[in-house]
Amino acid sequence: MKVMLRTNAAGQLLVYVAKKDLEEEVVAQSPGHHQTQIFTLSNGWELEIAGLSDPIQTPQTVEAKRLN
Amino acid sequence: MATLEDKKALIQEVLDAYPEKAAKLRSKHLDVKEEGASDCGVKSNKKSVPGVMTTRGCAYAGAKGVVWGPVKDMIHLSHGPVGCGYYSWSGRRNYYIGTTGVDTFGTMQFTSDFQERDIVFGGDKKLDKLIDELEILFPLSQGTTIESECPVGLIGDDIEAVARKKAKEYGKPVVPVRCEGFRGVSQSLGHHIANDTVRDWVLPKADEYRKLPEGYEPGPYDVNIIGDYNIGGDAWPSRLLLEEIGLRVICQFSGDGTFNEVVMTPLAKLNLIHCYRSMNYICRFMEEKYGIGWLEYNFFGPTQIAKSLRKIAAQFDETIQAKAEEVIAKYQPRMDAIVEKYRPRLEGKKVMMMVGGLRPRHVVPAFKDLGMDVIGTGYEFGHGDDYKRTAEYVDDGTIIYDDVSGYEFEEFAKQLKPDLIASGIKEKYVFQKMALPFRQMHSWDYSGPYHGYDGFEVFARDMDLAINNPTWSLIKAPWA
Ligand code: SF4
Repeated sequence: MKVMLRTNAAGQLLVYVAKKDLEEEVVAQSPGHHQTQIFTLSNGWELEIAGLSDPIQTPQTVEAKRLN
Repeated sequence: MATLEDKKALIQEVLDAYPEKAAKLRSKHLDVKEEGASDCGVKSNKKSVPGVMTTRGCAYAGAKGVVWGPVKDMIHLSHGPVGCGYYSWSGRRNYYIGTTGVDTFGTMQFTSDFQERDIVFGGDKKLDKLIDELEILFPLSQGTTIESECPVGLIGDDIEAVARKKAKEYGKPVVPVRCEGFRGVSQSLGHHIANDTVRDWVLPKADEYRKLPEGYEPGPYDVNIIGDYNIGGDAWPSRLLLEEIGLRVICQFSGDGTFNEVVMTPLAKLNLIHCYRSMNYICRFMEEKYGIGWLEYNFFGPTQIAKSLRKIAAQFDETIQAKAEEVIAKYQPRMDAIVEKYRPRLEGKKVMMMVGGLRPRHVVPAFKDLGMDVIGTGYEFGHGDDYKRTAEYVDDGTIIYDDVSGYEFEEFAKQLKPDLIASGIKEKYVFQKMALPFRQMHSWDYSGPYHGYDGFEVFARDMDLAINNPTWSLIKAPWA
Protein backbone atom coordinates (compact mmCIF):
# COMPACT_ATOMS: atom_id res chain seq x y z
CA MET A 1 0.00 0.00 0.00
CA LYS A 2 1.02 3.61 -0.53
CA VAL A 3 2.20 5.41 2.58
CA MET A 4 3.60 8.87 3.11
CA LEU A 5 6.62 9.40 5.32
CA ARG A 6 6.97 12.75 6.97
CA THR A 7 8.80 14.37 9.83
CA ASN A 8 6.77 16.30 12.38
CA ALA A 9 7.77 19.49 14.16
CA ALA A 10 9.47 17.49 16.90
CA GLY A 11 11.66 15.72 14.34
CA GLN A 12 9.83 12.44 14.75
CA LEU A 13 9.27 10.25 11.70
CA LEU A 14 5.58 9.68 10.94
CA VAL A 15 3.80 7.31 8.63
CA TYR A 16 0.55 8.51 7.09
CA VAL A 17 -1.81 6.13 5.33
CA ALA A 18 -4.55 8.13 3.65
CA LYS A 19 -6.76 5.14 2.87
CA LYS A 20 -6.75 4.05 6.51
CA ASP A 21 -6.88 7.53 8.11
CA LEU A 22 -3.82 6.53 9.97
CA GLU A 23 -1.04 8.76 11.16
CA GLU A 24 1.34 6.98 13.51
CA GLU A 25 4.81 7.58 14.83
CA VAL A 26 7.63 5.24 13.93
CA VAL A 27 8.79 3.78 17.24
CA ALA A 28 11.40 1.33 15.97
CA GLN A 29 13.37 0.87 12.80
CA SER A 30 15.41 -2.17 11.82
CA PRO A 31 16.99 -3.45 8.60
CA GLY A 32 15.09 -6.25 6.83
CA HIS A 33 16.07 -8.61 4.02
CA HIS A 34 17.20 -7.33 0.59
CA GLN A 35 18.08 -3.86 1.83
CA THR A 36 14.60 -3.06 3.06
CA GLN A 37 13.74 -1.29 6.26
CA ILE A 38 11.21 -2.49 8.78
CA PHE A 39 9.29 0.20 10.62
CA THR A 40 7.32 -0.49 13.77
CA LEU A 41 4.52 2.01 14.30
CA SER A 42 3.05 3.19 17.57
CA ASN A 43 -0.13 1.19 16.89
CA GLY A 44 1.88 -2.02 16.54
CA TRP A 45 1.90 -2.27 12.75
CA GLU A 46 5.08 -3.44 11.06
CA LEU A 47 5.80 -2.09 7.60
CA GLU A 48 8.51 -3.19 5.19
CA ILE A 49 9.75 -0.47 2.86
CA ALA A 50 12.36 -0.86 0.15
CA GLY A 51 14.76 1.57 -1.49
CA LEU A 52 15.03 4.27 1.17
CA SER A 53 17.96 6.63 1.17
CA ASP A 54 19.92 7.34 4.32
CA PRO A 55 19.02 9.73 5.86
CA ILE A 56 15.42 9.23 4.78
CA GLN A 57 14.17 12.05 2.64
CA THR A 58 10.79 13.38 3.80
CA PRO A 59 8.08 13.97 2.88
CA GLN A 60 7.88 11.18 0.38
CA THR A 61 5.30 8.67 -0.75
CA VAL A 62 6.52 5.09 -0.89
CA GLU A 63 5.20 1.60 -1.38
CA ALA A 64 5.05 -0.37 1.86
CA LYS A 65 4.19 -3.94 2.75
CA ARG A 66 2.42 -4.71 5.98
CA LEU A 67 4.03 -7.63 7.81
CA ASN A 68 1.59 -8.27 10.65
CA MET B 1 -21.83 11.89 37.57
CA ALA B 2 -18.39 12.20 39.01
CA THR B 3 -16.39 9.07 38.49
CA LEU B 4 -15.22 7.31 35.40
CA GLU B 5 -17.30 4.27 36.35
CA ASP B 6 -20.47 6.37 36.57
CA LYS B 7 -19.88 7.69 33.09
CA LYS B 8 -19.13 4.27 31.67
CA ALA B 9 -22.31 3.04 33.32
CA LEU B 10 -24.23 5.89 31.70
CA ILE B 11 -22.90 4.91 28.28
CA GLN B 12 -23.94 1.32 28.96
CA GLU B 13 -27.38 2.44 30.06
CA VAL B 14 -27.84 4.44 26.86
CA LEU B 15 -26.66 1.50 24.75
CA ASP B 16 -29.06 -0.89 26.47
CA ALA B 17 -31.99 0.62 24.61
CA TYR B 18 -30.61 -0.58 21.27
CA PRO B 19 -31.09 -4.00 19.73
CA GLU B 20 -28.06 -6.20 20.34
CA LYS B 21 -26.34 -5.66 17.01
CA ALA B 22 -26.80 -1.92 16.97
CA ALA B 23 -25.60 -1.70 20.58
CA LYS B 24 -22.45 -3.58 19.65
CA LEU B 25 -21.76 -1.30 16.71
CA ARG B 26 -22.44 1.90 18.61
CA SER B 27 -20.50 0.85 21.71
CA LYS B 28 -17.27 1.32 19.75
CA HIS B 29 -18.08 4.98 19.13
CA LEU B 30 -18.78 6.02 22.72
CA ASP B 31 -16.19 6.28 25.44
CA VAL B 32 -14.78 8.36 28.25
CA LYS B 33 -11.40 10.07 27.87
CA GLU B 34 -9.13 8.26 30.28
CA GLU B 35 -6.10 9.56 32.09
CA GLY B 36 -2.91 9.37 30.09
CA ALA B 37 -4.64 8.00 26.97
CA SER B 38 -3.16 9.20 23.67
CA ASP B 39 -6.50 9.05 21.89
CA CYS B 40 -10.15 9.13 22.84
CA GLY B 41 -10.80 5.42 22.67
CA VAL B 42 -13.48 5.63 19.99
CA LYS B 43 -13.74 4.29 16.47
CA SER B 44 -14.63 6.81 13.81
CA ASN B 45 -15.31 7.37 10.12
CA LYS B 46 -17.54 4.31 9.96
CA LYS B 47 -20.92 3.94 8.30
CA SER B 48 -23.77 5.16 10.51
CA VAL B 49 -26.01 2.46 11.93
CA PRO B 50 -29.22 2.15 9.89
CA GLY B 51 -32.24 3.32 11.80
CA VAL B 52 -30.54 5.78 14.12
CA MET B 53 -30.68 9.48 13.44
CA THR B 54 -27.32 10.86 12.33
CA THR B 55 -26.46 14.44 11.52
CA ARG B 56 -24.05 13.60 8.74
CA GLY B 57 -24.15 14.95 5.22
CA CYS B 58 -22.98 13.46 1.95
CA ALA B 59 -19.83 13.72 -0.15
CA TYR B 60 -21.51 16.30 -2.38
CA ALA B 61 -22.08 18.47 0.69
CA GLY B 62 -18.40 18.21 1.60
CA ALA B 63 -17.13 19.08 -1.86
CA LYS B 64 -19.66 21.69 -2.92
CA GLY B 65 -20.59 23.23 0.40
CA VAL B 66 -17.26 23.17 2.15
CA VAL B 67 -14.18 23.09 -0.03
CA TRP B 68 -15.14 24.50 -3.42
CA GLY B 69 -18.27 26.48 -2.55
CA PRO B 70 -16.55 29.45 -0.89
CA VAL B 71 -14.27 30.08 -3.90
CA LYS B 72 -16.27 33.14 -4.73
CA ASP B 73 -15.50 34.02 -8.34
CA MET B 74 -16.24 30.59 -9.77
CA ILE B 75 -19.56 29.05 -10.58
CA HIS B 76 -20.17 25.87 -8.64
CA LEU B 77 -22.66 23.77 -10.44
CA SER B 78 -24.86 21.28 -8.63
CA HIS B 79 -25.02 18.78 -11.45
CA GLY B 80 -28.10 16.59 -11.19
CA PRO B 81 -31.63 17.07 -9.86
CA VAL B 82 -32.51 20.37 -8.27
CA GLY B 83 -33.00 19.27 -4.63
CA CYS B 84 -29.43 18.68 -3.44
CA GLY B 85 -28.40 22.23 -4.22
CA TYR B 86 -31.66 23.88 -3.32
CA TYR B 87 -31.84 22.49 0.18
CA SER B 88 -28.21 23.29 0.94
CA TRP B 89 -28.39 26.75 -0.61
CA SER B 90 -26.43 29.38 1.28
CA GLY B 91 -26.57 27.46 4.53
CA ARG B 92 -22.97 27.94 5.53
CA ARG B 93 -22.66 31.69 5.83
CA ASN B 94 -19.26 31.96 4.17
CA TYR B 95 -18.99 35.71 3.83
CA TYR B 96 -17.23 37.30 0.89
CA ILE B 97 -16.57 40.63 -0.73
CA GLY B 98 -17.76 41.23 -4.28
CA THR B 99 -20.76 42.03 -6.44
CA THR B 100 -22.92 38.93 -6.40
CA GLY B 101 -24.01 37.89 -9.86
CA VAL B 102 -21.37 39.98 -11.57
CA ASP B 103 -17.93 38.98 -10.39
CA THR B 104 -18.77 36.77 -7.40
CA PHE B 105 -21.34 34.03 -7.07
CA GLY B 106 -21.13 32.81 -3.48
CA THR B 107 -24.78 33.01 -2.47
CA MET B 108 -26.15 31.96 -5.85
CA GLN B 109 -27.27 28.46 -6.63
CA PHE B 110 -26.68 26.86 -10.02
CA THR B 111 -28.08 23.52 -11.05
CA SER B 112 -28.54 21.50 -14.20
CA ASP B 113 -31.99 20.47 -12.91
CA PHE B 114 -32.04 16.90 -14.23
CA GLN B 115 -35.33 15.65 -15.62
CA GLU B 116 -36.38 12.14 -16.51
CA ARG B 117 -35.06 12.46 -20.05
CA ASP B 118 -31.62 13.43 -18.77
CA ILE B 119 -31.50 10.28 -16.69
CA VAL B 120 -32.63 8.16 -19.63
CA PHE B 121 -30.52 9.75 -22.37
CA GLY B 122 -27.63 11.11 -20.30
CA GLY B 123 -26.98 14.68 -19.22
CA ASP B 124 -23.69 15.48 -20.92
CA LYS B 125 -25.29 17.50 -23.72
CA LYS B 126 -27.24 19.50 -21.19
CA LEU B 127 -24.07 20.18 -19.21
CA ASP B 128 -22.32 21.34 -22.36
CA LYS B 129 -25.13 23.74 -23.16
CA LEU B 130 -25.35 24.94 -19.59
CA ILE B 131 -21.71 26.01 -19.56
CA ASP B 132 -22.34 27.96 -22.79
CA GLU B 133 -25.21 29.75 -21.07
CA LEU B 134 -23.12 30.50 -18.01
CA GLU B 135 -20.49 32.04 -20.23
CA ILE B 136 -23.06 34.38 -21.79
CA LEU B 137 -24.78 35.30 -18.53
CA PHE B 138 -21.71 35.57 -16.29
CA PRO B 139 -18.73 36.44 -18.47
CA LEU B 140 -16.68 37.56 -15.45
CA SER B 141 -16.72 34.16 -13.78
CA GLN B 142 -13.23 32.72 -13.46
CA GLY B 143 -14.24 29.15 -14.09
CA THR B 144 -16.70 26.43 -13.24
CA THR B 145 -16.69 23.42 -11.00
CA ILE B 146 -19.12 20.61 -11.66
CA GLU B 147 -20.21 18.86 -8.50
CA SER B 148 -22.00 15.72 -9.51
CA GLU B 149 -24.94 14.47 -7.48
CA CYS B 150 -25.90 10.83 -7.02
CA PRO B 151 -27.81 10.21 -10.30
CA VAL B 152 -24.91 11.44 -12.44
CA GLY B 153 -22.69 8.73 -11.01
CA LEU B 154 -25.40 6.11 -11.40
CA ILE B 155 -26.02 6.72 -15.09
CA GLY B 156 -22.30 6.99 -15.85
CA ASP B 157 -22.12 10.38 -17.52
CA ASP B 158 -18.66 11.43 -18.66
CA ILE B 159 -18.42 14.84 -17.03
CA GLU B 160 -14.63 14.78 -17.32
CA ALA B 161 -14.86 14.76 -21.12
CA VAL B 162 -17.30 17.68 -21.09
CA ALA B 163 -15.05 19.55 -18.66
CA ARG B 164 -12.00 19.12 -20.87
CA LYS B 165 -13.88 20.23 -23.96
CA LYS B 166 -15.40 23.32 -22.38
CA ALA B 167 -12.18 24.34 -20.66
CA LYS B 168 -10.48 24.36 -24.04
CA GLU B 169 -13.33 26.18 -25.71
CA TYR B 170 -13.41 29.08 -23.26
CA GLY B 171 -9.86 29.04 -21.94
CA LYS B 172 -11.17 28.89 -18.39
CA PRO B 173 -10.86 26.11 -15.86
CA VAL B 174 -13.70 23.62 -15.69
CA VAL B 175 -13.20 21.19 -12.83
CA PRO B 176 -15.27 18.01 -12.67
CA VAL B 177 -15.75 16.90 -9.07
CA ARG B 178 -16.95 13.31 -8.72
CA CYS B 179 -18.56 13.84 -5.34
CA GLU B 180 -21.74 11.76 -5.73
CA GLY B 181 -23.39 11.54 -2.33
CA PHE B 182 -23.27 7.77 -2.14
CA ARG B 183 -19.48 7.75 -1.95
CA GLY B 184 -18.06 7.28 1.52
CA VAL B 185 -19.78 7.45 4.87
CA SER B 186 -20.05 11.21 5.36
CA GLN B 187 -19.16 14.58 3.89
CA SER B 188 -15.58 13.87 4.85
CA LEU B 189 -14.91 11.94 1.67
CA GLY B 190 -16.26 14.91 -0.27
CA HIS B 191 -13.50 17.07 1.23
CA HIS B 192 -10.96 14.51 0.12
CA ILE B 193 -12.39 14.27 -3.39
CA ALA B 194 -12.43 18.06 -3.73
CA ASN B 195 -8.81 18.24 -2.51
CA ASP B 196 -7.90 15.64 -5.09
CA THR B 197 -9.47 17.68 -7.89
CA VAL B 198 -7.27 20.59 -6.87
CA ARG B 199 -4.32 18.24 -7.06
CA ASP B 200 -5.29 16.72 -10.42
CA TRP B 201 -7.09 19.49 -12.28
CA VAL B 202 -5.82 22.78 -10.88
CA LEU B 203 -2.24 22.62 -9.64
CA PRO B 204 -0.79 20.93 -12.75
CA LYS B 205 -2.08 23.83 -14.84
CA ALA B 206 -1.56 26.45 -12.17
CA ASP B 207 1.19 28.30 -14.00
CA GLU B 208 -1.03 28.69 -17.00
CA TYR B 209 -4.01 29.94 -15.01
CA ARG B 210 -2.18 32.16 -12.56
CA LYS B 211 -2.61 35.90 -12.90
CA LEU B 212 0.11 37.60 -10.95
CA PRO B 213 -0.81 41.05 -9.74
CA GLU B 214 1.40 43.77 -11.08
CA GLY B 215 4.61 44.10 -9.13
CA TYR B 216 4.17 40.75 -7.49
CA GLU B 217 7.42 39.61 -6.01
CA PRO B 218 7.64 36.50 -3.93
CA GLY B 219 8.49 37.42 -0.36
CA PRO B 220 10.06 35.56 2.53
CA TYR B 221 6.91 35.83 4.63
CA ASP B 222 4.32 34.58 2.13
CA VAL B 223 1.78 32.26 3.72
CA ASN B 224 -1.55 30.73 2.79
CA ILE B 225 -4.59 30.51 5.03
CA ILE B 226 -5.96 27.06 4.29
CA GLY B 227 -9.24 25.66 5.55
CA ASP B 228 -10.75 28.81 7.02
CA TYR B 229 -14.17 29.10 5.43
CA ASN B 230 -14.92 32.61 6.62
CA ILE B 231 -18.07 31.60 8.47
CA GLY B 232 -19.54 34.85 9.72
CA GLY B 233 -16.30 36.53 8.60
CA ASP B 234 -13.90 34.28 10.55
CA ALA B 235 -11.03 34.50 8.08
CA TRP B 236 -10.85 38.28 8.25
CA PRO B 237 -9.67 38.73 11.86
CA SER B 238 -7.38 35.73 11.31
CA ARG B 239 -5.83 37.37 8.28
CA LEU B 240 -5.45 40.72 10.07
CA LEU B 241 -3.64 39.01 12.94
CA LEU B 242 -1.24 37.20 10.64
CA GLU B 243 -0.55 40.43 8.80
CA GLU B 244 -0.02 42.23 12.05
CA ILE B 245 2.82 39.90 13.00
CA GLY B 246 4.44 40.68 9.65
CA LEU B 247 3.39 37.80 7.42
CA ARG B 248 1.96 38.30 3.98
CA VAL B 249 -1.16 36.27 3.29
CA ILE B 250 -1.14 35.59 -0.43
CA CYS B 251 -4.06 33.23 -0.52
CA GLN B 252 -7.23 32.36 1.35
CA PHE B 253 -8.33 28.91 0.40
CA SER B 254 -11.23 28.85 0.40
CA GLY B 255 -13.19 31.34 2.58
CA ASP B 256 -13.52 34.65 0.70
CA GLY B 257 -10.96 33.25 -1.75
CA THR B 258 -10.75 33.47 -5.51
CA PHE B 259 -9.70 30.93 -8.08
CA ASN B 260 -6.51 32.87 -8.66
CA GLU B 261 -5.68 32.46 -4.99
CA VAL B 262 -6.12 28.72 -5.29
CA VAL B 263 -3.57 28.63 -8.10
CA MET B 264 -1.25 30.94 -6.13
CA THR B 265 -0.99 28.49 -3.22
CA PRO B 266 2.24 26.80 -4.42
CA LEU B 267 4.03 30.17 -4.29
CA ALA B 268 3.84 30.47 -0.50
CA LYS B 269 6.49 29.53 2.02
CA LEU B 270 4.11 27.94 4.49
CA ASN B 271 0.57 26.64 4.57
CA LEU B 272 -1.31 27.60 7.71
CA ILE B 273 -4.17 25.18 8.11
CA HIS B 274 -7.14 25.81 10.35
CA CYS B 275 -9.52 23.01 9.45
CA TYR B 276 -7.20 20.03 9.38
CA ARG B 277 -9.98 17.59 8.55
CA SER B 278 -11.06 19.10 5.25
CA MET B 279 -7.79 20.35 3.83
CA ASN B 280 -4.93 18.24 5.18
CA TYR B 281 -4.85 16.22 1.95
CA ILE B 282 -3.84 19.10 -0.28
CA CYS B 283 -1.36 20.37 2.33
CA ARG B 284 0.32 16.99 2.47
CA PHE B 285 0.46 16.94 -1.31
CA MET B 286 1.99 20.41 -1.52
CA GLU B 287 4.55 19.45 1.10
CA GLU B 288 5.70 16.51 -0.95
CA LYS B 289 5.46 18.14 -4.38
CA TYR B 290 6.59 21.71 -3.70
CA GLY B 291 8.31 21.40 -0.34
CA ILE B 292 5.86 23.79 1.36
CA GLY B 293 5.52 22.94 5.03
CA TRP B 294 2.19 23.09 6.81
CA LEU B 295 1.22 23.98 10.31
CA GLU B 296 -2.04 23.57 12.16
CA TYR B 297 -3.12 26.54 14.23
CA ASN B 298 -6.05 27.44 16.43
CA PHE B 299 -7.47 30.96 16.65
CA PHE B 300 -10.22 30.30 19.22
CA GLY B 301 -9.69 32.06 22.55
CA PRO B 302 -6.69 34.10 23.75
CA THR B 303 -4.74 31.15 25.19
CA GLN B 304 -4.68 29.26 21.92
CA ILE B 305 -4.25 32.38 19.79
CA ALA B 306 -1.09 33.31 21.69
CA LYS B 307 0.16 29.74 21.49
CA SER B 308 -0.55 29.54 17.76
CA LEU B 309 0.99 32.93 16.99
CA ARG B 310 4.18 31.85 18.76
CA LYS B 311 4.17 28.53 16.93
CA ILE B 312 3.71 30.25 13.58
CA ALA B 313 6.33 32.91 14.35
CA ALA B 314 8.82 30.21 15.31
CA GLN B 315 8.80 29.15 11.65
CA PHE B 316 10.18 32.54 10.64
CA ASP B 317 12.98 34.86 11.75
CA GLU B 318 13.34 37.00 14.85
CA THR B 319 11.57 40.07 13.47
CA ILE B 320 8.40 38.04 13.13
CA GLN B 321 8.88 36.46 16.54
CA ALA B 322 9.34 39.88 18.15
CA LYS B 323 6.27 41.21 16.39
CA ALA B 324 4.22 38.24 17.51
CA GLU B 325 5.13 38.97 21.12
CA GLU B 326 4.23 42.61 20.57
CA VAL B 327 0.85 41.69 19.13
CA ILE B 328 0.09 39.24 21.95
CA ALA B 329 1.02 41.88 24.54
CA LYS B 330 -1.04 44.50 22.76
CA TYR B 331 -4.24 42.47 22.88
CA GLN B 332 -3.73 41.04 26.35
CA PRO B 333 -5.35 43.92 28.28
CA ARG B 334 -8.39 43.78 26.01
CA MET B 335 -8.66 40.01 26.51
CA ASP B 336 -8.27 40.40 30.27
CA ALA B 337 -11.11 42.89 30.28
CA ILE B 338 -13.37 40.48 28.37
CA VAL B 339 -12.55 37.61 30.70
CA GLU B 340 -13.06 39.84 33.72
CA LYS B 341 -16.46 40.87 32.43
CA TYR B 342 -17.83 37.48 31.38
CA ARG B 343 -16.02 34.96 33.53
CA PRO B 344 -18.03 35.66 36.70
CA ARG B 345 -21.21 35.09 34.67
CA LEU B 346 -20.01 31.88 33.05
CA GLU B 347 -17.66 30.31 35.59
CA GLY B 348 -18.21 26.60 36.11
CA LYS B 349 -20.91 26.27 33.42
CA LYS B 350 -20.87 22.92 31.69
CA VAL B 351 -20.94 22.53 27.92
CA MET B 352 -21.67 19.61 25.64
CA MET B 353 -20.49 19.93 22.06
CA MET B 354 -21.01 18.04 18.84
CA VAL B 355 -19.80 19.63 15.66
CA GLY B 356 -18.11 18.69 12.39
CA GLY B 357 -14.45 17.98 11.95
CA LEU B 358 -12.48 20.62 13.84
CA ARG B 359 -14.43 22.61 16.38
CA PRO B 360 -15.13 19.79 18.84
CA ARG B 361 -11.52 20.22 19.91
CA HIS B 362 -10.58 23.72 18.76
CA VAL B 363 -13.28 25.54 20.70
CA VAL B 364 -12.60 23.74 24.00
CA PRO B 365 -9.83 26.18 25.08
CA ALA B 366 -12.02 29.19 24.28
CA PHE B 367 -14.64 27.86 26.68
CA LYS B 368 -11.91 27.24 29.23
CA ASP B 369 -10.72 30.84 28.89
CA LEU B 370 -14.19 31.82 30.08
CA GLY B 371 -14.08 29.39 32.99
CA MET B 372 -16.43 26.90 31.38
CA ASP B 373 -15.96 23.13 31.27
CA VAL B 374 -16.58 20.95 28.26
CA ILE B 375 -17.98 17.70 29.67
CA GLY B 376 -18.75 15.96 26.41
CA THR B 377 -17.62 16.36 22.84
CA GLY B 378 -17.64 14.49 19.57
CA TYR B 379 -17.37 14.79 15.82
CA GLU B 380 -19.92 14.28 13.13
CA PHE B 381 -17.35 13.02 10.65
CA GLY B 382 -13.94 13.12 12.38
CA HIS B 383 -11.33 10.45 11.72
CA GLY B 384 -8.82 8.67 13.94
CA ASP B 385 -6.25 11.45 13.55
CA ASP B 386 -8.81 13.99 14.78
CA TYR B 387 -9.55 11.99 17.92
CA LYS B 388 -5.83 11.67 18.54
CA ARG B 389 -5.48 15.42 18.35
CA THR B 390 -8.50 15.80 20.63
CA ALA B 391 -6.87 13.92 23.49
CA GLU B 392 -4.62 16.83 24.40
CA TYR B 393 -7.49 19.32 24.30
CA VAL B 394 -10.04 17.65 26.58
CA ASP B 395 -9.94 16.90 30.29
CA ASP B 396 -9.86 13.36 31.59
CA GLY B 397 -13.37 12.13 32.17
CA THR B 398 -14.87 13.95 29.17
CA ILE B 399 -17.47 11.82 27.44
CA ILE B 400 -16.57 11.31 23.78
CA TYR B 401 -19.25 10.40 21.25
CA ASP B 402 -18.51 9.83 17.59
CA ASP B 403 -21.30 10.42 15.06
CA VAL B 404 -23.69 10.65 18.00
CA SER B 405 -27.29 9.71 17.26
CA GLY B 406 -30.22 11.93 18.20
CA TYR B 407 -31.29 9.51 20.89
CA GLU B 408 -27.83 9.19 22.48
CA PHE B 409 -27.27 12.94 22.53
CA GLU B 410 -30.59 13.58 24.23
CA GLU B 411 -30.03 10.87 26.84
CA PHE B 412 -26.54 12.14 27.65
CA ALA B 413 -27.89 15.66 28.03
CA LYS B 414 -30.68 14.50 30.33
CA GLN B 415 -28.24 12.75 32.64
CA LEU B 416 -25.24 15.07 32.50
CA LYS B 417 -27.36 18.22 32.76
CA PRO B 418 -25.12 20.65 30.88
CA ASP B 419 -25.73 24.40 31.00
CA LEU B 420 -25.15 24.82 27.29
CA ILE B 421 -25.32 22.66 24.21
CA ALA B 422 -23.13 23.74 21.32
CA SER B 423 -24.01 21.93 18.13
CA GLY B 424 -25.87 22.37 14.84
CA ILE B 425 -29.24 23.51 13.56
CA LYS B 426 -30.66 19.97 13.53
CA GLU B 427 -30.10 19.71 17.29
CA LYS B 428 -31.02 23.24 18.24
CA TYR B 429 -34.78 23.08 18.70
CA VAL B 430 -34.75 19.67 20.34
CA PHE B 431 -32.56 20.98 23.12
CA GLN B 432 -34.24 24.34 23.42
CA LYS B 433 -37.50 22.49 24.00
CA MET B 434 -35.68 20.63 26.73
CA ALA B 435 -35.11 24.07 28.30
CA LEU B 436 -31.40 23.99 27.54
CA PRO B 437 -29.54 27.03 26.23
CA PHE B 438 -28.09 26.34 22.80
CA ARG B 439 -25.56 27.82 20.40
CA GLN B 440 -24.98 26.71 16.85
CA MET B 441 -21.35 25.90 16.40
CA HIS B 442 -21.43 25.37 12.65
CA SER B 443 -22.82 28.70 11.56
CA TRP B 444 -22.29 30.65 14.82
CA ASP B 445 -26.07 31.14 15.06
CA TYR B 446 -26.16 34.06 12.61
CA SER B 447 -23.36 35.72 14.58
CA GLY B 448 -19.57 35.70 14.27
CA PRO B 449 -16.74 35.98 13.63
CA TYR B 450 -15.36 33.81 16.42
CA HIS B 451 -11.76 33.54 15.21
CA GLY B 452 -8.97 35.77 16.46
CA TYR B 453 -8.96 38.31 19.25
CA ASP B 454 -11.84 40.24 17.68
CA GLY B 455 -13.79 37.02 17.40
CA PHE B 456 -13.29 36.05 21.03
CA GLU B 457 -15.10 39.18 22.11
CA VAL B 458 -18.14 38.16 20.06
CA PHE B 459 -17.86 34.57 21.26
CA ALA B 460 -17.81 35.54 24.95
CA ARG B 461 -20.80 37.84 24.52
CA ASP B 462 -22.79 35.20 22.63
CA MET B 463 -22.19 32.49 25.22
CA ASP B 464 -23.27 34.88 27.95
CA LEU B 465 -26.39 35.86 26.01
CA ALA B 466 -27.32 32.23 25.49
CA ILE B 467 -26.74 30.97 29.02
CA ASN B 468 -27.90 33.93 31.06
CA ASN B 469 -30.98 34.65 29.01
CA PRO B 470 -33.89 35.07 31.49
CA THR B 471 -36.19 33.15 29.14
CA TRP B 472 -34.82 29.87 30.43
CA SER B 473 -36.36 30.42 33.86
CA LEU B 474 -39.79 30.41 32.22
CA ILE B 475 -39.60 26.91 30.74
CA LYS B 476 -39.13 23.70 32.56
CA ALA B 477 -37.95 20.37 31.20
CA PRO B 478 -40.52 17.67 31.96
CA TRP B 479 -38.03 15.64 34.05
CA ALA B 480 -36.38 18.56 35.84
S1 SF4 C 1 -26.82 11.95 -1.11
FE1 SF4 C 1 -26.97 12.24 -3.34
S2 SF4 C 1 -29.09 12.86 -3.72
FE2 SF4 C 1 -28.68 13.16 -1.51
S3 SF4 C 1 -28.02 15.34 -1.33
FE3 SF4 C 1 -26.17 14.07 -1.56
S4 SF4 C 1 -25.76 14.10 -3.79
FE4 SF4 C 1 -27.90 14.75 -3.50
